[in-house]
Amino acid sequence: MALLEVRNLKTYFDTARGMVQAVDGINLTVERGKTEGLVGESGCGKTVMALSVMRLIPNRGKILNGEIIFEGEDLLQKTPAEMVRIRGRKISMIFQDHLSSLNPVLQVGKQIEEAIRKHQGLDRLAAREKAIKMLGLVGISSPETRIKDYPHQLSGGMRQRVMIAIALSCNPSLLIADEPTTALDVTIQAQIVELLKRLIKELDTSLLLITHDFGIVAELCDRVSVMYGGQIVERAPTREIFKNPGHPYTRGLLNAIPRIDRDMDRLDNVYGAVPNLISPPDGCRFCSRCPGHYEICHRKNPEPVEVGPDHLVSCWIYGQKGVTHV
Amino acid sequence: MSDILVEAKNLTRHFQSSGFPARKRALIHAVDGVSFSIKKGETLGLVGESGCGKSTVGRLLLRLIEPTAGEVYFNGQAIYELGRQEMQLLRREMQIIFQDPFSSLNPRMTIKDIIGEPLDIHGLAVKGNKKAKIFELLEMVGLSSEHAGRYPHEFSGGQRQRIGIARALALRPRFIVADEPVSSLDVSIRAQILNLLKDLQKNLGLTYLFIAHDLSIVKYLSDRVAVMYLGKIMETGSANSIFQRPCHPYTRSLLDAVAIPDPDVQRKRLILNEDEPNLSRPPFGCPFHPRCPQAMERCRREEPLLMELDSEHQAACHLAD
Ligand SMILES: Nc1ncnc2c1ncn2[C@@H]1O[C@H](COP(=O)(O)OP(=O)(O)OP(=O)(O)O)[C@@H](O)[C@H]1O
Ligand SMILES: [Mg+2]
Repeated sequence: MALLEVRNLKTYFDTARGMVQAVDGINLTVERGKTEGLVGESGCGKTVMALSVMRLIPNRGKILNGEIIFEGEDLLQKTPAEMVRIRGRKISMIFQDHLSSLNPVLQVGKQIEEAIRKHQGLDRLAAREKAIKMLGLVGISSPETRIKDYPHQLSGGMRQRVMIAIALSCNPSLLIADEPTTALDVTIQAQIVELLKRLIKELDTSLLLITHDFGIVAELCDRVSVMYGGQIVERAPTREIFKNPGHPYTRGLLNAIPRIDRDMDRLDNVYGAVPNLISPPDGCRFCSRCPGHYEICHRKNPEPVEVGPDHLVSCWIYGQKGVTHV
Repeated sequence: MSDILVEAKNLTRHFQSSGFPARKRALIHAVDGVSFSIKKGETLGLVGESGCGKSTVGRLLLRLIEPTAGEVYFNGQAIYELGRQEMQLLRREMQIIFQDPFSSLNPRMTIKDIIGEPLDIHGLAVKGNKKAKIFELLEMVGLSSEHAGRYPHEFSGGQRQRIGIARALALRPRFIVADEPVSSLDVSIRAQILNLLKDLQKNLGLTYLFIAHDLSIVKYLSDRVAVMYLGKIMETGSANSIFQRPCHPYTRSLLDAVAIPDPDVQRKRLILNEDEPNLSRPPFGCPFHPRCPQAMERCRREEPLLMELDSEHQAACHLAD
């Protein structure tokens, strides 16, 4: 059985301007020991999806529907106290605004120790030892002296390493990393990618990696889901997504990326902009930007169709169960 | 007449860092002896990581800030020697597009006022004609005249960047500094803006200084490239030579760092020794040596100068010796 299986999840936000359908009927699976990528452009609902799994949705948000089956149990049925324990021991998350999520007035060593003591019941000495070990593990040199540093004494890359150390200190079975490299400089991004690659192998952790960067997907993920306007439009093994993208949105995005490994005369234009999630259009949400669309696309949202092994696409090009072609 | 439009000679700018007490303040060498030239109609890509001085170079070229030392020539004219009025005239020819389309537009002004403002400032607004001009500019950047009466908050990031570009084009400049114009934009919107910049260059014969930290974007737009590190140029040359035959270990590490969206590309990375550099305490010798995996004894003692590798490729590295 998969480690995490999200079924038909809906998370909406009640705002002054209307109901934001941030996550609208999502299915997502993370297999044990594998890295699942979740890609999509800004505002498509990636972070809300992750926060829903953690049950950390801010006030005005609400999970309306669905199941989040983790290690065989539905997280949506857990009490808040049970969730606190699961978050400390089983599922960890590296948050998108990671550079501000360290406490500025506490030595970094203390912050890791605190996390370790709270969730694993180790005594001070053992926690300190573990903190030093974790810092070493994430590639911070001379961790014995570094634990006394305050966050502002560390560079952006080092702080991200500390966040990763904290997240992994409880040996979680699932790590969720929300844009772990986005705010960092290019060379530092590469270091963090290499670090994550090594750690998930060494610790055998499953990873849900959220990013907007297909380069990082190619390097780290076993399988990837492409999100658009609160929904998943395509899911496939990583190689398949790049070699054989099925959804017009995925195809458009891949051809819109400037490449360092080849000369490109012109980038593909995916015309228009992302849909408003307050009153999204009827039918397929990508319809208005889609280069070729049928009449039915305007009326009805397509269901996922299996177009290859483990390859699902939600697009009317592939017909639907019961509907032959359009 | 020369085919060079913009030339920087030994351009230098220091900043006093904030700090308390005063003895903790440091002199930051944001830009330190930078020289390059940009030909008419071409794009020079200026790359480097945050804090390396790229944006300061851009602002110095437009004289938005004054240099500590050095010269900038625009079409042969030494711009730091110009008086206020002459400078004002020259400003029509050089414009800037900023990174953040959210903060660079005044939220209380309508789009037509934002785009029309430079025309007013330079006294180029003739009644009737101004409106037509604004509509034309909107069209040029892929917006329409219906948008003219709206306010910035009604637009998406990509549209705001288009507005910023229309504003920069209002005076029909010859030279545009584009300072990370797409780094806050999504993949699909980024492609739209990059294509727009390319089309405008072709149709209007513009010359660009394109500042970015992402080498794949620089590759898409640039004819020539300069790589900056701690206020200095480490390597510069034609885009071809920089991407095919990078010579400086810093350039190589930047190229290696780019994640390629193709799972079949297996790469070995040149991994740097340390994290980010300290801006206020640049090291002795080569500024890059503490992070350089190939540093030698000589690199700690002696700073390498930019040396010609061939007629269109220069690098500042002892290894190239
Ligand atoms: N607290 C909130 N209140 C109201 N709306 C919200 C809230 N948080 C998120 N949203 C909305 O939900 C949608 C999805 O947002 P989300 O942050 O998940 O996007 P994302 O894919 O993570 O984007 P990014 O790539 O920019 O991080 C957006 O329309 C956003 O405006
Ligand atoms: Mg997010």
